[in-house]
Amino acid sequence: MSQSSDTTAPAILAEVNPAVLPRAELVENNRDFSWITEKICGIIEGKTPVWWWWCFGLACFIASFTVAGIAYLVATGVGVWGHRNPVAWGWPIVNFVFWIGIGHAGTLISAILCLLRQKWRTSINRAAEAMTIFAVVCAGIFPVFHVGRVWYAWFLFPIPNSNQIWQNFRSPLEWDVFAVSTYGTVSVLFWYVGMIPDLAVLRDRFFNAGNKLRSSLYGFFAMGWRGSNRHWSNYEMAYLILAGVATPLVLSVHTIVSFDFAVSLIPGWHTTIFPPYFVAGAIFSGFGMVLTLMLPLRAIFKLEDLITQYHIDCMCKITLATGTMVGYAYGMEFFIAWYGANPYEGFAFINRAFGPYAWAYWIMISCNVITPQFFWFKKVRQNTSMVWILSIFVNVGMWFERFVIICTSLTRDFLPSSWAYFSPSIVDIFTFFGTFGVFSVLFLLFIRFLPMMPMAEIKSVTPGADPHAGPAHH
Amino acid sequence: MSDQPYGLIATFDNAVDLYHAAEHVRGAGYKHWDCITPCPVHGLDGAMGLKRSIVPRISLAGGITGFCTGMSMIFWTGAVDYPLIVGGKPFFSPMFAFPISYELTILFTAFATIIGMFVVNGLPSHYHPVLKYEDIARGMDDKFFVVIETRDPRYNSENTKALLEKTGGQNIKELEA
Amino acid sequence: MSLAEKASETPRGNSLYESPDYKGVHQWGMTIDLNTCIGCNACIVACQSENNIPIVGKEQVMLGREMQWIRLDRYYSDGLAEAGAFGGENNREIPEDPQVSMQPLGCMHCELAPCETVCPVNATVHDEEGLNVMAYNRCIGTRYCANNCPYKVRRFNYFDWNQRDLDKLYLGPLGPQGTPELVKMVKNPEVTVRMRGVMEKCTYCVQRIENGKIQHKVKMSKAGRPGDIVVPDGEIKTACQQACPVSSIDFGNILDPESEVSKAKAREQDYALLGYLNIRPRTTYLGKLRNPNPRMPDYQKKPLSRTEYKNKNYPPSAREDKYGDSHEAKHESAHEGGHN
Repeated sequence: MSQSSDTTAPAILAEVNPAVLPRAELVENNRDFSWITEKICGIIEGKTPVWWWWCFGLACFIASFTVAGIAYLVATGVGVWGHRNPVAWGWPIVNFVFWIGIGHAGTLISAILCLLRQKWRTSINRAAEAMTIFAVVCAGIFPVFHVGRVWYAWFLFPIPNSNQIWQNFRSPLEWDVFAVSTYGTVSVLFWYVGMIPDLAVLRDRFFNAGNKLRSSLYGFFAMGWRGSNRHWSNYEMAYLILAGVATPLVLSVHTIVSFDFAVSLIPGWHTTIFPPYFVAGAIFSGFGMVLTLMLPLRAIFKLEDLITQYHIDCMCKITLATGTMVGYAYGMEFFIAWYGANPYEGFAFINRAFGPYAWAYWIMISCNVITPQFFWFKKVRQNTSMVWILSIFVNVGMWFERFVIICTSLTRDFLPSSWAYFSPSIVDIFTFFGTFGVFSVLFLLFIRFLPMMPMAEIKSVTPGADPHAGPAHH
Repeated sequence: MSDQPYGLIATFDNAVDLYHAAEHVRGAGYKHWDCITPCPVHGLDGAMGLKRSIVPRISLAGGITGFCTGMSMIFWTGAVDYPLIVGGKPFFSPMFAFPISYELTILFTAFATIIGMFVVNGLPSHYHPVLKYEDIARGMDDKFFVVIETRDPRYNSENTKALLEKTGGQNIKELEA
Repeated sequence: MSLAEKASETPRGNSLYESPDYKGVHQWGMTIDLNTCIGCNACIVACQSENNIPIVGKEQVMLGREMQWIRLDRYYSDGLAEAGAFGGENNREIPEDPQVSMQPLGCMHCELAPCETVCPVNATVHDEEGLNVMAYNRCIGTRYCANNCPYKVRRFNYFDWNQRDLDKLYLGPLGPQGTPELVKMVKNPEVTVRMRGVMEKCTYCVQRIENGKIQHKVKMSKAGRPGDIVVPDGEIKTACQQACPVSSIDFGNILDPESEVSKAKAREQDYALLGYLNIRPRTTYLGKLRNPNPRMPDYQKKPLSRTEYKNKNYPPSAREDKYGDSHEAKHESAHEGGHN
């Protein structure tokens, strides 16, 4: 199929007669616009499926663990967690970095793949962006509530106060405040702006179906969108600019999160490899989560024509690439620790692999370095159950990576008199697992009430949107 | 019924026909008209004769504002208003001020882009005559429309309708204002 | 460059940064002499009394949340230097008569403090006299400063140690609240009592420093010399310095080359712990010297061990000359007559 503008073919082509490389269809089975609209809107317009209620109930129950855990924490004190001298940051900061990392894949799919003109992003980018926003919500719980005096967390913002003192802008935590706030805000805005044309579709469909209430609700947020090409012109420009701005954002936010560690002087933390290492790791874990979410949704809602094997292939390949980068970073850290001959740095790495937390280290290595290598094999990529299981391992491994970096480096740093073993408390554990419930609640609400895929974007990459195609076919 | 209709609306089944129709309408010299599409159609801007969007300029202004806000805030708080010796670091340095200024650049660019896009598009506009068209749902779905407004100086109810029919428009209706 | 100049000008040392100068008329510093330190823990007790350091209870200490601002690090020697000191080659069990080294550690008040850089709310900053000051009311408890301190001298209030019963800490708001009047009277009124969620650490007894400065200014004003605000050496003593029975802690103004602390820092064995990090701690140590010459009268085959301790501190009847001796063996050697 011919894409983009036509150019006169050079004469040499007639002589050489190159083979026609088949490009994968982005929407299979020649689906037309109205099929796409019906498929996606049907999920919102139909009755709530029974499985959704069961999942929602379970998710609410699990989310209550976080609510209870946080309430207990704020009422009683940080001591209910497992923190101790010298490990002043334990599971909560591991969880924070874990969730923020997951969020980055969504922005990569939306923004970076948009700039790289990867058209296959269109079926997954809305759900991936939603995943980003909900992951940032889950992540944000931790830095806010892990502080000793949560009621003074507003001290972090540069607003006038009675002490007339300002923040310390040299501190990576202060950078984090701006970075994560910006990331959350821009992600929500990008997601919302992308949804406006789809909300307009829903507005008009509900209006025609007689449901005035839902029509007005969707219509309010649709801003009166009417599909005008004059509007599309500015809209597409704004979308491109947002993509262009979100790209450095995703790279900088996780870089700034990595600065939380890299700017300190603890051996094992104070290393310049952290920014690219963390960003690659974030994308790796994020794609793991995207696969974990999208594969079941694809099966339940019969979206095989929209999320095709080509899409799954691309996602697996990105997971493989970033997983390999992470593996390389592990190797490099060890090499430089040895090559640099700093006894503290060298010890930090020997300790990771063979010290009291060796169990965590080897789980991390097997999940992050070994499991993505399965994606080299086409047979594995085509087996969706296998892909799903591997994606779960990716996320487990990435949690352990943050745990190994944060906790093992703190338990044994410069002075052996301060060395100790850190264990989480039961409150730590429940609060963390509850965040999966929080995420699921938000995600289930999203798939029930909002268009899970960007209809307008999918349509724009089908042949039906091409004004220079041959005779149109339905 | 209002005295004058808003304009004429014609339906097209696919993007190819719409594209050619747009070229004809532009060639006929109309200025107050529009195409309604369910998804962005590449090349339609050129066919309609639209100029490049001005949103990037608004974004740039937003970005520069963001960067300057960050740097000046950090400079003023750290070196002018309440200088504190912190870790032996200087009171102001563009190094440590950079991450926050960078984030504010991005944030303000995003705000400027979105607000700029809404303002330039005239959104929100929930009560536009096109939205009152009974088949507008198809325009969001799988059909393409061309709308020519009556306030255009070249508008003439017979000639405009003839032009739309000639280019392949179907179901040509009047839109009430 | 003299120590006084170094303290007030913060030499740049190839750094891209120009550090702000310290303009205070005093620059506080401390040395701890490891030659005299006997590990008696008097400094810890004095610090606790002076600074309202809360008791946290046995359970919390086991969980690693003790609050003492100064601690005594005790290390056992390993077999690398002298296998005999550690029960033979490759022995990894602590022998019955280990060789011991001690080091008291409080906040070092580093001139280029790593803890200050990372506090997001400026709760810990440096004052003009070289003290790393902790503003409890500004601290929101992110605990990054504790992570970044290489000496791990910062302490966090994990619970409301003062307001809640130590055996009911985990009940939180459901437990009884309030400090009994008698306990309140134990507290030093010159030092803030910290609530939960704030970080604290050794302050070089800043309340004593301020008191000393004020009293000196008053005295000088009354004597008609109001401009003479530099406190003479020895008038301000930190609690640990005051309590130390062997005077191993010296504290004072390092701008004054005649102060005890300046003289101690001028000694050759003065060193900064983890000095290579270039954070320039104001508390430095005088390294312990041993003379292993067997012909010296105080020669011990295994110095810093329990045998040496006993031989120095107990009458000849109780002394031993073999290491690894049990209590029963001691009685036999007593019959053989004392050694030394």
